[in-house]
Amino acid sequence: MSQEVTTSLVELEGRQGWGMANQALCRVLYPEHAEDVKAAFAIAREHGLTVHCWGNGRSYGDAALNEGNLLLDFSRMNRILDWDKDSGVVKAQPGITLNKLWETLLGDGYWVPVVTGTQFTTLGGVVAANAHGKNNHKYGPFGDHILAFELVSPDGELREVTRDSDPELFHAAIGGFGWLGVFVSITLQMKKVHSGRLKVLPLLEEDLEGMFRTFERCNAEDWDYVVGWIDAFPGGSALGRGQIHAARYYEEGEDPEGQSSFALDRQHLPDRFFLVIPKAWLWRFAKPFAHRWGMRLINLARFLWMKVGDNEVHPQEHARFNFLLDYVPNWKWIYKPGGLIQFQFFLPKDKARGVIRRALEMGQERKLESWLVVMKRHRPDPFWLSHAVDGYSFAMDFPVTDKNRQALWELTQDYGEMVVKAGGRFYFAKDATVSGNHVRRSLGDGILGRFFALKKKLDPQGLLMGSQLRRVFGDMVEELAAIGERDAAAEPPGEPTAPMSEAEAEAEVAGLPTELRDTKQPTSPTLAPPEATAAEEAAPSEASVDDEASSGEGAEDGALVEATATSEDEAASDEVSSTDDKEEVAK
Amino acid sequence: MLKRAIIVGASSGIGAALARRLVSEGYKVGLVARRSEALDTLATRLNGDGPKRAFVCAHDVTDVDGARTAFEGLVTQLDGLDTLIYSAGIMPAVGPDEFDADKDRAIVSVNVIGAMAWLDLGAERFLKQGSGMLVGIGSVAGDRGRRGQPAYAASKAALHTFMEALRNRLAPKGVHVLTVKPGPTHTPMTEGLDKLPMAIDADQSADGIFRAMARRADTAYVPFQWMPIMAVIKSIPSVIFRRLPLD
Repeated sequence: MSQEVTTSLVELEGRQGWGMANQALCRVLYPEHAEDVKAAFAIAREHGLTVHCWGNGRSYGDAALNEGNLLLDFSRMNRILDWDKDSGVVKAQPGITLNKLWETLLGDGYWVPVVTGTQFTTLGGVVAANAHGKNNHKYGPFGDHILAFELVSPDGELREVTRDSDPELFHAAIGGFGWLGVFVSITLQMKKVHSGRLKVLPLLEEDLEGMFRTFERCNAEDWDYVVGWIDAFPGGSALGRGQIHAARYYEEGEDPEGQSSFALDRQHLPDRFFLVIPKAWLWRFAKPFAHRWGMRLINLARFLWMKVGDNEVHPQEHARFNFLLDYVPNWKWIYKPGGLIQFQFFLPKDKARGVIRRALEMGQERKLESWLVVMKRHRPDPFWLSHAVDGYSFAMDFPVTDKNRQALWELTQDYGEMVVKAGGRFYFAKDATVSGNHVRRSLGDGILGRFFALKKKLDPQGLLMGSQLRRVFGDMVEELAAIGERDAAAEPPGEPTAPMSEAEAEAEVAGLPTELRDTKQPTSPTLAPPEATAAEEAAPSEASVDDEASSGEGAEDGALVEATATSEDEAASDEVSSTDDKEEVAK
Repeated sequence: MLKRAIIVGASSGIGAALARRLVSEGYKVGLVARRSEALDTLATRLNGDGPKRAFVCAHDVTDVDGARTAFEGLVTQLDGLDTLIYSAGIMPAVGPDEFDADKDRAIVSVNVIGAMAWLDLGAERFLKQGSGMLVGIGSVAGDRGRRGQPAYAASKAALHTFMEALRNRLAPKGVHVLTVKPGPTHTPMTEGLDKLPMAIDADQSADGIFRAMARRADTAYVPFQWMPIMAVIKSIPSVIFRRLPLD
């Protein structure tokens, strides 16, 4: 590919995090090729700006923002470049949404191995965030399914990286939030499926202990997906009550409707509620309940609805099971005008009970109960800035108002301290509040030093920097890079140390209040693996709501840099699909 | 998720009190004033041991050419901007028979020209983002031309009118413009003045201003009792007003 690019600085344009509580004015560029990314670095150097990436704007907080600086919007790099249906290996550009990916490939019998709670995240976003799904306990994060990627760093090189060719960069850039380089292509191993449906089992639990017990049971029974919804409002013996959804893939030949269930119209989410009310209207009906008592009522109603519902194993389409955040279009608008934040933390399993119980109590004591809580089971992974541990995640949505802003911020800081002391982690894709101090203590100077030393090598001028990196690490970047360089000089290269060892976590938890030192181990009585019969009808589950986000895009028209681009090599000749007709090149 | 505000004239008085109040209400603040030591002291107090909530920028508001650099630097540090408050002002003592153009020019430079420079920068940004709030700290003194402080009163009247015009321009674009008219307030600026009727301290004033911001008022007298008083005073014919014992 050769490309000629002339540029002048473009005007500022408003962008906001998906939760609407973080806004920024950014200078947005729309790259179409790797050369455009290199050109963006040149613009940044010339004007003293930094560069960050935007996929489809699905990160809740400031993960995809870059106030006053350059933002690369990947909505025009959204094609599948290569697809081998025999091996299930797909190579695609980073701006393709998971929606386009699964819609294109499901007909060949493949599903995206890890999906977020919304299908409108982008491939680049989920790789940059190393996002997880409801199957993290079994299938790991998105990064575990990446075979290779091409990365352009500010040093001007385009690197093709695999797990073996450069294990350091592979494990640092996946989950590195675009701070080491910009993905221009990603090769992913898709998951072979024998049906367009899953066997889904809803399990109602009356308290937090029941939730943990069932999670561990599902984990022991090797369910492919497990996700829990919790009602954050009741206290006492009902504290932490909720519902778990477990799901399995069908084995080959097990589902008589296997082939027909791949059809997209079977997968697509219903656009009407009770067959009558357009789902696009639903947020308006919910808006009058958008306050503490209203949400208490809605959570209660939901719990009771599930209690009287049919909690039997039933088949459900992949899309309908996984993309619960897409069921009600624009549901986030009930949080207007202040928007929402999500605070998600990850806890080792032996500390999770105590911390989660206390987190729920603290929300109630401060009258800041989360309106929506989602719980998942996780396993550790080898990525440098990994958020997962062998334990649980707990994601809480909070409305942001002028009245609760400071109290909510203080609550998240207090949660942060509890999480650090319990040896837990945080997740930047969701984040809008975590402090650098907490992240540093959580991940440790060893791995952060190593990450920022690598960044200094690939990005010596610090061009790759977004709002979140500035907020969380700010002045620490140089210090951490120096620590990494010092450590590298002192020790021979090897595998990165774990962000926090078990021993370190134990030492930290010694400082934890007694009530948070959870020593109770989950009991895991055997549950006979439920079986789905062919006669079982697909019943759309009201159930759990997942969450997830990653850097996203938002195909706004109009380039902010004036650039002329001529391309000799428009696209791979074996392109399988193009999500949208291309708009004019960034002029 | 924290809101972001720049306060120009934050080293003391109402500006400093507003900084304290806004931080307690979930804001990050960018503090602007000439005296960097005073700003640093305030910022240290506001930041405490936790994540940074206050950022400082030493800047003389009479340096209009330097305003953009100072503004953009703070916006980057705050990672955006929701509110711009212009609180800088001077009121040098003026003798009953004193007519000093240099003194008047200094007053206008700080109270009007500096205000326009910063409020213009805020307006430009808020127009692009389609949201934001501009707050100008005027004065009840700007409602009438009393004999004691001609240039100060005129400067505040100019600010009020400028703010009103900004409001008329920006309101349809989603930008809110608030004109605050504090009554006498105990601040370093009013130290040494004998008569301060119904005076309140700077923290009380900041409370009133924050409440006006929260209810998105167009114009707010602080304390609110000044609203009916000034309504009466403004209605007094000039020929009578000049005979009243109001300095």
